[in-house]
Amino acid sequence: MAAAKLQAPSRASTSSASSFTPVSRQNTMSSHDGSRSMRASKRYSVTALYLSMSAKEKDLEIEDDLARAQKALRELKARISSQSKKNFVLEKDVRYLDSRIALLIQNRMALEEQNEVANHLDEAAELQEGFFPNDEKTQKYGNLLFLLQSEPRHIAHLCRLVTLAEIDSLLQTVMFTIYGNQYESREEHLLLTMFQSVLTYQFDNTPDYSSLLRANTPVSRMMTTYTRRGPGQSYLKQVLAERINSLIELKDLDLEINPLKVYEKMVSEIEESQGTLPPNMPKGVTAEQAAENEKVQAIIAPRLTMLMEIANSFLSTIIAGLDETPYGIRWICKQIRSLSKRKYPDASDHTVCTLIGGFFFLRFINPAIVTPRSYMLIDGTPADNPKRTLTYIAKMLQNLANKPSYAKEPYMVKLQPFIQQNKERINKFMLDLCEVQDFYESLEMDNYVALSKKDLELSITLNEVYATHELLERHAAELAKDESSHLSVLLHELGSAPAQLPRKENRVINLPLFSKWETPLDDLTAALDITQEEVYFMEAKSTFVVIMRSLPANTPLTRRPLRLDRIAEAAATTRNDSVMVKKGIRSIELLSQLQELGVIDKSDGFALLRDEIEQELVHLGSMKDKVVEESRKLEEVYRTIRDHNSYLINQLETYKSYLHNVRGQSEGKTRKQQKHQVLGPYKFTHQQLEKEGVIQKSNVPENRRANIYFNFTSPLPGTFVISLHYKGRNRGLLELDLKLDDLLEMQKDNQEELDLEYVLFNVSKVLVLLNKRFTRKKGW
Amino acid sequence: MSQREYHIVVLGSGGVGKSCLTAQFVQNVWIESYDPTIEDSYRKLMEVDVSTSFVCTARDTLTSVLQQGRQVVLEILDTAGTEQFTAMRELYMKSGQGFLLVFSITSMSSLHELAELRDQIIRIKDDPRVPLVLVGNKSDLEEDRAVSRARAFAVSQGWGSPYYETSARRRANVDEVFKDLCRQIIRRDVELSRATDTDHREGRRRRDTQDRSRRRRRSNRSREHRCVIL
Repeated sequence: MAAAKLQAPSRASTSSASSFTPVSRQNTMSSHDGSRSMRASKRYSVTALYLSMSAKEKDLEIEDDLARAQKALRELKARISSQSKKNFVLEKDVRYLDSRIALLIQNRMALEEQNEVANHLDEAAELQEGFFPNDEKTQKYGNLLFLLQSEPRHIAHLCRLVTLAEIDSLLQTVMFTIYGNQYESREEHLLLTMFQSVLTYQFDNTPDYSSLLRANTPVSRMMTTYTRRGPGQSYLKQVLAERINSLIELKDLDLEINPLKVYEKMVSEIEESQGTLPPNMPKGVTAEQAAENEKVQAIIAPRLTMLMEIANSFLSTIIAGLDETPYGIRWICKQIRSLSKRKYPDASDHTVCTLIGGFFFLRFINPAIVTPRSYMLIDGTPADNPKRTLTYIAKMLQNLANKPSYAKEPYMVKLQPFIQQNKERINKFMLDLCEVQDFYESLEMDNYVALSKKDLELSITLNEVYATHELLERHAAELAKDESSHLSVLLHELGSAPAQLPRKENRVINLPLFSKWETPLDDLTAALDITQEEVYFMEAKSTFVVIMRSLPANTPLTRRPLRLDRIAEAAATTRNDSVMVKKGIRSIELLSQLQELGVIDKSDGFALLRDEIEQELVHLGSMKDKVVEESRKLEEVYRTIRDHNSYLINQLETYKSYLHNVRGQSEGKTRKQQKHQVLGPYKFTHQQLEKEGVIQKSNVPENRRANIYFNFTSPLPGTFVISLHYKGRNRGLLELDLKLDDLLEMQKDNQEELDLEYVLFNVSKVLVLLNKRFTRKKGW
Repeated sequence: MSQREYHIVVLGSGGVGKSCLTAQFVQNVWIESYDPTIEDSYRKLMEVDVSTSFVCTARDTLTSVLQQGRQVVLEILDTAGTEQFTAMRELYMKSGQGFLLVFSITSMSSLHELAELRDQIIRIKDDPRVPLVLVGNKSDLEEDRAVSRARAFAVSQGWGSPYYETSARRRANVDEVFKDLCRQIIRRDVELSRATDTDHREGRRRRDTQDRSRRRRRSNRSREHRCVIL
């Protein structure tokens, strides 16, 4: 189990009702009190400590299947972490440009602003690696960031001081850089500690219960950003993607249940088909009149059933996914529960669940259901009908999680059976969400390990460092009141924050982190409150485990029960493997020391130690499967994130070209017309375009498709001619003039189809194609 | 008698009381429970006091409005204040003709958030004079006030929009807010249609962007078809 904690930190065990203590702590470093004393758990922690420390020593590398699978998983996680950061940054750029491009298309942007946008675009390039100007700075910033990382309270405090405008860039640095290793238990746990600190503050400073967690605050912004990290994304994908995708396939499935809307649609359909309206069906009725209409009722009745079925299926998947829910999200739920119980000791479970739902459903699940595209769950924009259905599903789930007030939309009362049937189920689920272990113990351990590590590094940009420094400086009066505090000392040494560098000069650096105030690790036993016997015992256990994993399978030595003395002997006498020999000798020493101390006994075959080692090995065996399974899931997440990345990059490229083009034109008005070379024609077969997804739908009969081809030409930058040809004929069947503006505007309006009569093109894919083919040095 | 339909969108940060305000206006109820909104729609018939709202408009347009009747239908869209739902905002803004920007007088940051929303509305509607009312809700919580009347008023002046303080709980100023917005919408409607009369193209250009883009698409189409050689 110790190893489980170490290897898969984000999945803490859920069956811990007995050890669960509702006491919440403010700070990890202050946890030297009674509740952290179960001897067994301490042991596990120490084993974890040993295992992770030895894992760092190169000469002890184990090369079995498990080790390889774990290595692959680690690498994958690192890739996801860095990729999701890149996407976060790109998304910001694209969002900014989305709004600007609209203005540009409407020709309403002043030249200066065009230039400003162009500068922004030029900056959006991959950063180069670099270094700090000098070693002294490297060291001082290394000290500062170590302090910020290992003592989350400083950033928590800072988050409360900054404005909402400042917080985005701070959170980017915090979530994707300082605690950017999203699958590393120490960084994850430190980040959660920071969450707790900010949450506590919010609970203490919100006057009334109904406003709790409602406003958009640093905490809610943190939650948004947090759910964008790898584990949250992969969970949403796993739990929601399939259901949402099958729902949006049903473009014609209209599940509107608002009587007014249903009535209006019905009336306009009748009017269209018959030309007039029957006298008993006037336009412009009230909601009550519409609801009383029998035809409307007949239309709505089956829709209610279907909505409830769909919502039920969503709910069941979410509930079944309890174990898949990211640890961090569950832990936050747990904090909400304990904080609300502390603030309102008389609060019922139901009230507490309402608050948990205010986080879990309102800020995590439902936004993804309502706008699945921004969560990378689907590719296109859903059609109106499925979109409305998804909104209903989210509303129903939210109603379920909270106390629905049908005062708002009376017709929603009809969905009450769904609430009644599931009320208990969901309350139980939300309470179950909170059943995760605290991590303070392992965090403390991790922090000791971190102190002992020599190679703690942070990949961060100079501008991130400077911006963080600048924020700290600006709020130093509050943050570093005590002049002798570590933060004060470091800030004083650093002096004032350098200005932000232009993007071209910005660099990514690998900053070695270390504490300015070394904590000696020698008195580990004192610090962790354990005895020398226990330290020996754990070391023996981990040493034997390492030896066993290095032994070839099927040797007589691996038979159970294990003969520890023989194993040690065999290891100590291995040929040509000095590491193994050292391990063997050490294990012999440990066996005799432990026996002298009376912990184990040779006469029973060192049973106490042997049993634990055997358990550990069994556990490691099943762990390999888990690791492989986790890798498989994460591969998928990584693929999605990468797809999204190329989508974002392509979008930026398109904007860039468009902008160059527009600026070229406005320059052209004043100067002489620039010479423009005609580009193309480039020829594409029907099959090619179909494969690339450019052709979304084709009306060309199968047997003729081989004879169809397309020519793409760009006579002027920003202008394209697409022609459709039939083999053997000279003239094209059809020719289409396209302006880049129009394509961009269509894309902006979520118009995804470009009609060429014989075929339907996908607008985004056409843009990708044009982008690839016609990129001119200065615009298109 | 023709009934005009106007689309109103209620926007603002989470927990400021958008739903309470709307439900008070439409249904005369006070919602006590903790019930965050995702998206709710309401409809209400309202008598508009035309005589007071058109003092400043020309006589000919006034008569044309009178002929169209005094009762209007308000389609009110109550939105999610939770910031995780921002992806839906743009669509709301496209469909709305008038906007209530609501904050809570007990939270300065809820007022700050509105500036960004207003910018977005103006960008999307392509109209700096889009009908809009700034609403400071929770005026019954005077003891917790964090935004002074003067401060909020200054903001609204900067925008050229009216400012009201409301209490959804006590139903204070609730109707007034909606009425003011409604008058603004009608006035803007008249101005725009007058502009259309005098300068047809100019008026159309200034109509809302949705209209414009639809037209543009149509012209795309005609271009497409013109080029078919077959």
